[in-house]
Amino acid sequence: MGKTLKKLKGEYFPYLLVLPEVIYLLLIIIYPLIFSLNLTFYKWTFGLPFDTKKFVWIQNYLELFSDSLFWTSVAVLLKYAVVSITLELSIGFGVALLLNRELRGAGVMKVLMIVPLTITPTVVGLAWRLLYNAQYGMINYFLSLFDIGAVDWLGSYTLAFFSVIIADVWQWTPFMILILLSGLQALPEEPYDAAIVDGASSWQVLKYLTIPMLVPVILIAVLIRIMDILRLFDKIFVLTFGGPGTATEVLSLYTYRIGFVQSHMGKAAAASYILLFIIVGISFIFVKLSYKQIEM
Amino acid sequence: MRHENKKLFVAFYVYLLMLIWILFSVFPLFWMVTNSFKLPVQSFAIPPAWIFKPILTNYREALFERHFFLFAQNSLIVASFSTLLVIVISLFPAYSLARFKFFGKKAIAFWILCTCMFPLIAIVIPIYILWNKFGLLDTRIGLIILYTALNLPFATWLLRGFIMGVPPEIEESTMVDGCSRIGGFFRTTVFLIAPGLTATIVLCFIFSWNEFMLALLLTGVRSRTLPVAVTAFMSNRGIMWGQMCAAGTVIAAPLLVLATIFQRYLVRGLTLGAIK
Repeated sequence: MGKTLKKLKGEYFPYLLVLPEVIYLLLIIIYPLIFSLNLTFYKWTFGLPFDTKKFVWIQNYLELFSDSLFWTSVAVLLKYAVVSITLELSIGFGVALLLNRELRGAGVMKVLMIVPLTITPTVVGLAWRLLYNAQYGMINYFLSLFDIGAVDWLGSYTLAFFSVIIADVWQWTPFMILILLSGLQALPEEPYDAAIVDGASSWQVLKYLTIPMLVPVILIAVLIRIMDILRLFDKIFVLTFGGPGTATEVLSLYTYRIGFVQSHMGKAAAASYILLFIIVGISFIFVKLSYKQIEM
Repeated sequence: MRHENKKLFVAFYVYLLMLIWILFSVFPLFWMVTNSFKLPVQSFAIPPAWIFKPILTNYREALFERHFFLFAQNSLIVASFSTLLVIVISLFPAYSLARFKFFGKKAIAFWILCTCMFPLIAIVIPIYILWNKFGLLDTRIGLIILYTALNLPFATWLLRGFIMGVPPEIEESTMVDGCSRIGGFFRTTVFLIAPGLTATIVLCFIFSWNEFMLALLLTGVRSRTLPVAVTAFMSNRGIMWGQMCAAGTVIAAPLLVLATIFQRYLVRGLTLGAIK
């Protein structure tokens, strides 16, 4: 009897330790997600009692697909993700390479680098709004020193998109730098010694040694950024609120507007599910890619 | 000789590039902080007022006339308690996933990681309805429950990595002395992963301190947190720059302190979480 109890305990113990967290996540994350999936098939006006909802099959999805603003927000989001991650990755890689030599003051640089990462996104938004101000902003002041006239950074339809991206690059490039730097520092030394013996140029070393060995780290860093950037909301909320027009309205902000401003909760839930599918889809591709790379 | 010169030349450019990056990195915050000490006339002066007599009017107006301390208290309570809960809940599964072999372990670990992938906007709608039903709207507890859930996957994953870095023999040696497995863990390994634990705590705290969307949609005046409060300085009539910068500085200050003190741990936490 005592023996079986002990054996049972031994078998179930690991599950027992995991159980509370799994239950917590099921209740607070998974249950609401299922609730939301159900809601995507209903029409319900925000503010009215919840019983007034009406089952409408897939009408919410059809309405979304025929709404050009929905497609704009998807396009803005994807464009935003591609441009900002490309910039963050390339600048981050460059700076990481620079920092990966014996450099005096590298420690101080690391501290200064981690600061933007920790700052509240809404505060980042307001700090950049101050800089971008068309009349009194510092950026326009610096430009005026070179005789460049006032630029409306956040008010112009084409520029606003890039202005928001610069703020993002400012905040998140350090993340790339730190991850790539620790990736670089974890690389084995032998291949490099061999390359030096073979007389390889530093460009060849970078192209044929460093980058291929760093690919797994790069993929993971990009994946983390993708998952974060696709749900972007706070910074844009403060900087432009999606404007001017819908120039910077990403999918989260569109969903917010449909649900909490225009009160079409069912339609908003459907939009949030499409965002969920976009994130899952892209992440899936990346996980596949990185497994392939690691196996190689 | 020529080689030496070339080396100096390269070093010069490396430092120059680094300097440019650091100026770019520091300037936006520097400018916000200096503006918080300026009169409106000075904030909008062209050419900018580099040297000026600092005033505290903005702080007085931002902090004392707009319930700022209530919001700061909310932020502090929500961030601290959710962090505490996260650590208490996630240490056990992290230990289990790091140390035991059992059926479905990989699947469970992966499932936990996946639960932090979904977009927040997808749960804020159902949560609004549910919180309304249970009377959790505009309460700190409502936010604490949510932030705990959002931080759990990340914390579990990080702690699991840190625990795996400690050889299990250390715990087993205490088991010989009659300690249970878990007892051994809390007597030895917990102390050995202290840096990792600190990184996890600080990162969870920062996340909860900074969260905006849920706080915006699920709180009213009673439980509003600082990231939402700071946006209240923007209105249709214009932006109160000085006060907003003062509030922004106060919100960012604890983060600056945490980032400086725990810099080494944070880098480890961020990168280990990504690489392992």
